[in-house]
Amino acid sequence: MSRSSRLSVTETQRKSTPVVKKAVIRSRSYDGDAFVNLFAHRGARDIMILDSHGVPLRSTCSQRRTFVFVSNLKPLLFMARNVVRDLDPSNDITFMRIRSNMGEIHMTLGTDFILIVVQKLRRLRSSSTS
Amino acid sequence: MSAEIEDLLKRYQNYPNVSGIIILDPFAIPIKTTMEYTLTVHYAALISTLTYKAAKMITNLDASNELVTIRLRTKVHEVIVLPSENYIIIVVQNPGT
Repeated sequence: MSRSSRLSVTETQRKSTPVVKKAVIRSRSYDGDAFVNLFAHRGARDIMILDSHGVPLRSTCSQRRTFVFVSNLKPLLFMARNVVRDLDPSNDITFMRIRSNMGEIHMTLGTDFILIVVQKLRRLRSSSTS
Repeated sequence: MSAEIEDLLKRYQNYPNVSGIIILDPFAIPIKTTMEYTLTVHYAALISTLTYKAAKMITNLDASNELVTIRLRTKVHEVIVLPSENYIIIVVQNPGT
Protein backbone atom coordinates (compact mmCIF):
# COMPACT_ATOMS: atom_id res chain seq x y z
CA MET A 1 0.00 0.00 0.00
CA SER A 2 1.45 3.31 -0.99
CA ARG A 3 1.51 6.30 1.31
CA SER A 4 -1.06 8.37 -0.54
CA SER A 5 -3.56 5.53 -0.76
CA ARG A 6 -3.12 4.82 2.93
CA LEU A 7 -3.86 8.44 3.73
CA SER A 8 -6.92 8.38 1.49
CA VAL A 9 -8.13 5.21 3.20
CA THR A 10 -7.71 6.93 6.55
CA GLU A 11 -9.55 9.95 5.21
CA THR A 12 -12.46 7.79 4.11
CA GLN A 13 -12.61 5.80 7.32
CA ARG A 14 -12.57 8.86 9.52
CA LYS A 15 -15.85 10.09 8.05
CA SER A 16 -17.80 7.04 9.11
CA THR A 17 -20.15 7.29 12.06
CA PRO A 18 -18.76 6.50 15.50
CA VAL A 19 -19.12 2.94 16.68
CA VAL A 20 -21.11 3.79 19.80
CA LYS A 21 -23.48 6.75 19.79
CA LYS A 22 -23.63 8.65 23.05
CA ALA A 23 -26.02 11.38 24.04
CA VAL A 24 -23.53 13.30 26.16
CA ILE A 25 -21.54 15.88 24.24
CA ARG A 26 -17.84 15.51 24.93
CA SER A 27 -15.63 18.53 25.33
CA ARG A 28 -12.73 16.89 23.52
CA SER A 29 -12.46 15.23 20.18
CA TYR A 30 -9.85 12.50 20.02
CA ASP A 31 -9.82 11.93 16.30
CA GLY A 32 -9.00 15.34 14.94
CA ASP A 33 -7.30 15.64 11.62
CA ALA A 34 -3.80 16.29 12.94
CA PHE A 35 -3.94 13.36 15.33
CA VAL A 36 -5.08 10.78 12.81
CA ASN A 37 -2.91 12.12 10.01
CA LEU A 38 0.16 12.15 12.23
CA PHE A 39 -0.35 8.55 13.27
CA ALA A 40 -1.15 7.45 9.75
CA HIS A 41 1.98 9.13 8.47
CA ARG A 42 4.12 7.26 10.98
CA GLY A 43 2.84 3.85 10.08
CA ALA A 44 -0.22 3.45 12.27
CA ARG A 45 -2.70 1.16 10.63
CA ASP A 46 -5.64 1.46 13.00
CA ILE A 47 -6.45 3.76 15.88
CA MET A 48 -9.14 2.93 18.43
CA ILE A 49 -10.29 4.88 21.43
CA LEU A 50 -12.15 3.12 24.21
CA ASP A 51 -13.53 4.51 27.42
CA SER A 52 -12.12 3.40 30.74
CA HIS A 53 -14.44 0.39 30.86
CA GLY A 54 -13.38 -0.90 27.47
CA VAL A 55 -16.33 0.23 25.36
CA PRO A 56 -15.12 1.40 21.93
CA LEU A 57 -15.99 5.01 21.22
CA ARG A 58 -14.04 5.92 18.10
CA SER A 59 -12.10 4.01 15.52
CA THR A 60 -10.47 4.54 12.16
CA CYS A 61 -11.26 1.02 10.99
CA SER A 62 -14.52 -0.80 10.38
CA GLN A 63 -16.85 -1.88 13.16
CA ARG A 64 -16.11 -5.53 12.57
CA ARG A 65 -12.36 -5.07 12.81
CA THR A 66 -12.76 -2.85 15.85
CA PHE A 67 -14.84 -5.54 17.52
CA VAL A 68 -12.24 -8.22 16.76
CA PHE A 69 -9.43 -6.14 18.22
CA VAL A 70 -11.33 -4.97 21.27
CA SER A 71 -12.64 -8.42 22.13
CA ASN A 72 -9.08 -9.74 22.08
CA LEU A 73 -7.25 -6.82 23.65
CA LYS A 74 -9.65 -5.79 26.40
CA PRO A 75 -9.15 -8.87 28.64
CA LEU A 76 -5.42 -8.63 28.04
CA LEU A 77 -5.38 -4.98 29.08
CA PHE A 78 -7.24 -5.57 32.29
CA MET A 79 -5.10 -8.60 33.04
CA ALA A 80 -1.95 -6.52 32.60
CA ARG A 81 -3.35 -3.87 34.90
CA ASN A 82 -4.08 -6.53 37.52
CA VAL A 83 -0.59 -7.97 37.13
CA VAL A 84 1.04 -4.61 37.79
CA ARG A 85 -1.22 -3.90 40.75
CA ASP A 86 -0.54 -7.34 42.18
CA LEU A 87 3.21 -6.85 42.06
CA ASP A 88 3.08 -3.43 43.70
CA PRO A 89 -0.23 -1.92 44.84
CA SER A 90 1.09 1.63 44.60
CA ASN A 91 2.16 1.13 41.00
CA ASP A 92 -0.03 1.45 37.93
CA ILE A 93 0.35 0.62 34.28
CA THR A 94 0.58 3.53 31.87
CA PHE A 95 1.56 1.99 28.54
CA MET A 96 1.71 -1.45 27.00
CA ARG A 97 3.34 -2.55 23.81
CA ILE A 98 2.98 -5.93 22.16
CA ARG A 99 5.29 -6.68 19.29
CA SER A 100 4.73 -9.53 16.90
CA ASN A 101 6.25 -10.61 13.62
CA MET A 102 4.12 -8.40 11.44
CA GLY A 103 3.21 -5.45 13.57
CA GLU A 104 2.94 -3.80 16.94
CA ILE A 105 0.01 -2.93 19.14
CA HIS A 106 0.42 0.08 21.40
CA MET A 107 -2.04 0.60 24.24
CA THR A 108 -2.14 3.71 26.37
CA LEU A 109 -4.18 3.49 29.56
CA GLY A 110 -5.35 6.84 30.83
CA THR A 111 -7.81 7.61 33.56
CA ASP A 112 -10.55 8.57 31.13
CA PHE A 113 -9.85 6.54 28.03
CA ILE A 114 -7.79 3.76 26.50
CA LEU A 115 -5.99 4.42 23.24
CA ILE A 116 -5.03 1.52 21.00
CA VAL A 117 -2.77 2.02 17.99
CA VAL A 118 -2.07 -0.91 15.68
CA GLN A 119 1.12 -0.36 13.74
CA LYS A 120 2.82 -2.21 10.94
CA LEU A 121 6.54 -2.79 10.70
CA ARG A 122 8.46 -1.29 7.82
CA ARG A 123 10.90 -4.16 7.59
CA LEU A 124 11.50 -7.30 9.58
CA ARG A 125 14.43 -6.89 11.94
CA SER A 126 16.44 -9.85 13.08
CA SER A 127 16.97 -8.54 16.60
CA SER A 128 14.04 -8.86 18.97
CA THR A 129 15.41 -6.90 21.89
CA SER A 130 13.75 -3.59 21.04
CA MET B 1 22.35 -24.86 28.00
CA SER B 2 23.92 -23.34 31.08
CA ALA B 3 26.45 -21.40 29.01
CA GLU B 4 23.64 -20.07 26.87
CA ILE B 5 21.78 -18.85 29.93
CA GLU B 6 24.94 -17.19 31.24
CA ASP B 7 25.40 -15.44 27.90
CA LEU B 8 21.84 -14.16 27.99
CA LEU B 9 22.28 -12.90 31.52
CA LYS B 10 25.51 -11.07 30.74
CA ARG B 11 24.05 -9.58 27.60
CA TYR B 12 21.09 -7.99 29.30
CA GLN B 13 22.92 -7.06 32.46
CA ASN B 14 25.19 -4.71 30.53
CA TYR B 15 22.36 -2.40 29.56
CA PRO B 16 22.02 0.71 31.72
CA ASN B 17 19.12 1.08 34.14
CA VAL B 18 18.45 -2.66 34.33
CA SER B 19 17.36 -3.47 37.86
CA GLY B 20 16.42 -7.13 37.55
CA ILE B 21 16.59 -10.07 35.17
CA ILE B 22 14.68 -13.33 35.46
CA ILE B 23 14.99 -16.26 33.08
CA LEU B 24 12.20 -18.83 33.15
CA ASP B 25 11.83 -22.16 31.45
CA PRO B 26 8.65 -22.84 29.41
CA PHE B 27 6.89 -24.11 32.55
CA ALA B 28 7.40 -20.77 34.33
CA ILE B 29 10.03 -22.10 36.71
CA PRO B 30 12.80 -19.57 37.37
CA ILE B 31 16.19 -20.77 36.16
CA LYS B 32 18.27 -17.66 36.77
CA THR B 33 17.48 -14.49 38.61
CA THR B 34 19.19 -11.37 39.87
CA MET B 35 16.29 -10.41 42.12
CA GLU B 36 15.08 -11.56 45.50
CA TYR B 37 13.57 -15.05 45.49
CA THR B 38 10.03 -14.24 46.66
CA LEU B 39 9.79 -11.36 44.22
CA THR B 40 11.12 -13.62 41.47
CA VAL B 41 8.44 -16.23 42.08
CA HIS B 42 5.79 -13.51 42.13
CA TYR B 43 6.99 -12.06 38.84
CA ALA B 44 7.33 -15.50 37.29
CA ALA B 45 3.76 -16.52 38.08
CA LEU B 46 2.11 -13.30 36.97
CA ILE B 47 4.19 -12.42 33.91
CA SER B 48 4.17 -15.93 32.49
CA THR B 49 0.38 -16.08 32.64
CA LEU B 50 0.17 -12.73 30.89
CA THR B 51 2.67 -13.87 28.27
CA TYR B 52 0.72 -17.01 27.42
CA LYS B 53 -2.47 -15.02 27.14
CA ALA B 54 -0.83 -12.45 24.89
CA ALA B 55 0.63 -15.15 22.65
CA LYS B 56 -2.80 -16.73 22.31
CA MET B 57 -4.35 -13.35 21.53
CA ILE B 58 -1.82 -12.57 18.80
CA THR B 59 -2.52 -15.93 17.19
CA ASN B 60 -6.25 -15.23 17.42
CA LEU B 61 -5.91 -11.97 15.53
CA ASP B 62 -3.80 -13.43 12.74
CA ALA B 63 -2.86 -17.09 12.50
CA SER B 64 0.53 -16.47 10.89
CA ASN B 65 1.55 -13.88 13.47
CA GLU B 66 3.79 -14.64 16.44
CA LEU B 67 4.49 -12.79 19.65
CA VAL B 68 7.98 -11.32 19.81
CA THR B 69 8.06 -9.11 22.89
CA ILE B 70 5.87 -7.38 25.45
CA ARG B 71 6.63 -4.10 27.15
CA LEU B 72 4.72 -3.03 30.23
CA ARG B 73 5.43 0.56 31.16
CA THR B 74 4.32 1.47 34.64
CA LYS B 75 4.74 4.57 36.75
CA VAL B 76 7.84 3.26 38.49
CA HIS B 77 9.58 0.97 36.04
CA GLU B 78 9.27 -0.95 32.80
CA VAL B 79 8.96 -4.71 32.40
CA ILE B 80 10.16 -6.22 29.13
CA VAL B 81 9.19 -9.82 28.42
CA LEU B 82 10.99 -11.75 25.69
CA PRO B 83 9.38 -15.13 25.08
CA SER B 84 11.40 -17.52 22.97
CA GLU B 85 11.32 -21.23 22.30
CA ASN B 86 13.16 -22.43 25.38
CA TYR B 87 13.06 -19.50 27.78
CA ILE B 88 11.02 -16.54 28.85
CA ILE B 89 13.29 -13.64 29.71
CA ILE B 90 11.91 -10.92 31.97
CA VAL B 91 13.91 -7.71 32.28
CA VAL B 92 12.89 -5.03 34.75
CA GLN B 93 14.41 -1.64 34.09
CA ASN B 94 14.01 1.92 35.34
CA PRO B 95 14.01 4.09 32.25
CA GLY B 96 15.13 7.65 32.81
CA THR B 97 12.63 10.39 32.11
